[in-house]
Amino acid sequence: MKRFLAIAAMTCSLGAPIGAAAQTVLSVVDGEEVIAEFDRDALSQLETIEVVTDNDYVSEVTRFTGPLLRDMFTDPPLDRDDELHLTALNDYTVVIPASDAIDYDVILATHIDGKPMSVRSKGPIWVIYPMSDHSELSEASYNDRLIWQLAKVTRK
Amino acid sequence: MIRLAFRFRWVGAALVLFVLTITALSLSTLQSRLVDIRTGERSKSSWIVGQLEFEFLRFENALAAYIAGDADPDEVKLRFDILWSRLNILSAGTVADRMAAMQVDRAPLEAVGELLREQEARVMALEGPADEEARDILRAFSVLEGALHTLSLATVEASSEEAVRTRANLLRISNITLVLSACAVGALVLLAGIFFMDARQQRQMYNENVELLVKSRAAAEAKAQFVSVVNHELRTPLTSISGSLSLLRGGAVGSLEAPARKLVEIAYSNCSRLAALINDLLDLDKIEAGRVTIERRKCDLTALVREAIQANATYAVNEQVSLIETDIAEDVHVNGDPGRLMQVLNNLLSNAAKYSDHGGEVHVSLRRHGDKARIEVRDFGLGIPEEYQTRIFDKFQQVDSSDHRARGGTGLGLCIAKGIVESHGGRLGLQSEVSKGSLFTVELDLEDVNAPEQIRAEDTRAA
Repeated sequence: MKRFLAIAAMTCSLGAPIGAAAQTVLSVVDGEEVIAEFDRDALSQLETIEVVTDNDYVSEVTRFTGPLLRDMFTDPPLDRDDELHLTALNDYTVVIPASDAIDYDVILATHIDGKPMSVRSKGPIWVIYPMSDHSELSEASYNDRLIWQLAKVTRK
Repeated sequence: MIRLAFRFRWVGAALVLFVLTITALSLSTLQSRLVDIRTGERSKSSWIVGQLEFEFLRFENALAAYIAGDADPDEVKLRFDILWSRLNILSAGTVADRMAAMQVDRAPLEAVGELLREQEARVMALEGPADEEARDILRAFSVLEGALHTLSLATVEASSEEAVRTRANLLRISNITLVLSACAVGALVLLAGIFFMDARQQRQMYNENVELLVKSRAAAEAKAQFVSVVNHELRTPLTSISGSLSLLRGGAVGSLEAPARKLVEIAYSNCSRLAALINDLLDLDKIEAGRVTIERRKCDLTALVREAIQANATYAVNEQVSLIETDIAEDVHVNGDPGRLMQVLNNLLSNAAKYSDHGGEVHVSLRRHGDKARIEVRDFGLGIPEEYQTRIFDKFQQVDSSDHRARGGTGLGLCIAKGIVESHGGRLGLQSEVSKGSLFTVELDLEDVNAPEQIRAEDTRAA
């Protein structure tokens, strides 16, 4: 599997045309080392949870499904002092404290109302904070952390 | 002015509180506005429109790279999708609301949407090396560049106007806060001044009170000294005068001529009156100072009343009044000082005799009345008008001063009697009607009633 992913990553970096199923949608990087790469299938194999919340970019309370952000790092697990750099498809990056992922069920949503998210609807991965469950998260600064079209998570 | 300030110090305090509350409220409004400002720059319309323009250009860039043979069509399709997502973001959630609130001409946005829908099929159909089709798509997109840039500028303009408004608001709030704070400080200073003056006045009053207390102690001491002077320097010579006169009267130095005898009699009688007055004054002083000593012991009131009637019989006969025992209960005992109670009875009986008409009667009774012993002394004389009935127990009070000389007395007796009865925990009462006579009542706790001390104290207060 790992080897397959590595090949997939290599082919992707070479810019060769590849099948949609094999396309890497998320890279997880620890420091300088790439520790995992997921295509849509691999991502859907992960254990997911559901977060029902609203935010500035949806018109009503919406059901998001996806794996927990903190589960991306297991060896060693996230430390409160870690920084997570979240990078989008368009190379836009935000830095969030790892404590966000530890304190709240921040998910890498892949499904919205049960349907997979396309690039056009902020997919394939949208970082979602459970804002409706924690009033302190409605603070404006958290809005900026809802990065969509997520492509890479880096721990620093 | 200062007094006025004192009166209004609470108003001042309320004012300070009010100003502080208003300030706090303004500050909390300020905070919410600050939160508004902190609303991430990245969720502002100008940023999102900027991003749309950016992704628009990036798509064109990818398309151009594809045409030049430097990129594959998937890259172009990804950029197309991202561009589409940017447009979608502008039409949902609070971002859309904010965009609408800005009143910016949204025609370019609609044009971009139109263009994306129009070109979608062609972009998605791109395959293999670039051809004329790709160049055609690029031309279609480049037409909109100008309009999109104009929208971007207009949005930035609108955002900055909003920011200016917010800043103006902030400035206004901070100005108001400044003024309110100045008012609060002013009011606090004023209030502090008032409280300071108040404290100073209180201190002054306290000092005055201390001075008064010292003075009043000095006065009490002077009075005590005076009483002791009266006691020694007045009574002692008076006793020797009265003794000498008594010897003269008794013929110890030979019998006197009739005129001399008359003069001695006058001197002796006035001397006795003077001695009585001094005794009364000293008694009164003791009672008022609470220094009167009551020796409480079992005391036979029946015997005491009878003794008092006998003792006053001579005086009554002189006044041509008969003292009559109407109803004397046997074996009535109280806890008290027989000497002092005798003084009370003597006073009441002699008063009754004194104020009765010649040939009149004075009725004396002693009864048990519940847990009390009640002595009643009734005369049928002048009576006491209602307005005098309370004053009569005060010092130097007699009903009619024209009567005073005719009947003698110091006007201290009732006052002393009342003091003595109350010292016993009893009550001295009076009922009277003009021309019909008076009824004085003495009520004392019966000895065999084991009444607790405080009940007596209550009785004293009630009296």
